[in-house]
Amino acid sequence: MDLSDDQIIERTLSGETEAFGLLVRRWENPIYGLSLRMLGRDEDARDVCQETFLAAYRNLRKFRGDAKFSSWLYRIALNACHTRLRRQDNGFAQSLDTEDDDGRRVEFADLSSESASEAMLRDQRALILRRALQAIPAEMRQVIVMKEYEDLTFAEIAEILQIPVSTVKSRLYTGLQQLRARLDHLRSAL
Amino acid sequence: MKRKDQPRMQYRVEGDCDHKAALIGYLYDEATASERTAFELHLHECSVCSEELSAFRRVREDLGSWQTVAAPRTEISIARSPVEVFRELIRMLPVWTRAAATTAIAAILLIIVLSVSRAHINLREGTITFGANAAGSQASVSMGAAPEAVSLTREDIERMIDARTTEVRASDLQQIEELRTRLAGLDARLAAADRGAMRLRAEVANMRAEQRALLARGQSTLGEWLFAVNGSREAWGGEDERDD
Repeated sequence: MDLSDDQIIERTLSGETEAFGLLVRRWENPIYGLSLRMLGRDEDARDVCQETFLAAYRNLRKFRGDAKFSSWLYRIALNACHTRLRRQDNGFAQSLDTEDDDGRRVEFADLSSESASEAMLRDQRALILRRALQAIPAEMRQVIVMKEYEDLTFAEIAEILQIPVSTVKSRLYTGLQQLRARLDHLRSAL
Repeated sequence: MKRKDQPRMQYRVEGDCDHKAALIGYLYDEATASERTAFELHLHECSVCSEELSAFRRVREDLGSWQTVAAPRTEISIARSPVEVFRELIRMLPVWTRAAATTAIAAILLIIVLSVSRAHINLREGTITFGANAAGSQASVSMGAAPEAVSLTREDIERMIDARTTEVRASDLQQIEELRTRLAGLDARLAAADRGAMRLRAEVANMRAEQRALLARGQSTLGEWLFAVNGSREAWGGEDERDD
């Protein structure tokens, strides 16, 4: 039987430090996915993932259990993402032009090329999406990422960000509007 | 981060509708049945919302194109504090060892506490009795064979002290008596030795007296003998003087 997050936390706090590894294995994919989509670079996402779990381990005694562990973890990860984003100085747009879905360097192919395969077109579509997503403000991007990729409810996002549900909906609406505009702009540019 | 050189890109449809929250709830299927029905009715008469909904659905399709691979295995190295290492070490020990260690630590702590509070410990008749007297207050703990000796009052302790004092006194008196007897014996032996010495001195005195008497008698006999010898020499004519 799988242990719940709270049970694993209890074990870790009672001195069974290896138990924390179960939480890492359970939550590393969502945290990595969130960080990658927030930051756009695989390397940064890995770093944030590590920072998040280290911070969670060090502050595990401060976790009071009145919220879900995953919400607490997402909040730590988002704080780490925002810290990195503040440090970046216009760097993300350049890197997005030259990195693939996992942050590896790629050439930005001509979408109109007759020789481009379906897979390539799909990759290009994803790349455009990434550029557009990275171009919208982080506070809207994080709401879209949590809703679209982490499949969280409005209430869960509100809990993580500690804002009202109405604000979540408002940011989501504005974010989708801006994303739509960016996507149309990028497509017309190519 | 907002950049000044980029215009704020947002579609503003003429006749902007205030059903944004309802649209988002409907789009993500988080509307209640009644909200859903109400919004569907609204869609029939609001081209703004209808167009917005279609556009957002296309955006969501685009968002679905970005699928990430599984996260690389996250390795975190957790530096354990000495306390955590000690805890883990304790956890590895068998239960009986932990119980023994806990008892030993508890006993050591108890002894330290009792020492600090000027306690005394009595070991008597299979019972270990601890008594403490710190800062005017009095506390005592007893453990051992006697089940009734769980706690002692001040009177109990005083009675015990009196009994112990009497016991010690009796023992001391017995020792004194034994010493006295041994001393008397030694005195008797000394008196006997004195008497023997007196006898010896008397014998020595007698012997000296006899010696003196013998000496006196011997001198007298020698004188007589010398007188007799000199008399005969004169009678023989003094031959030796002529030789000289």
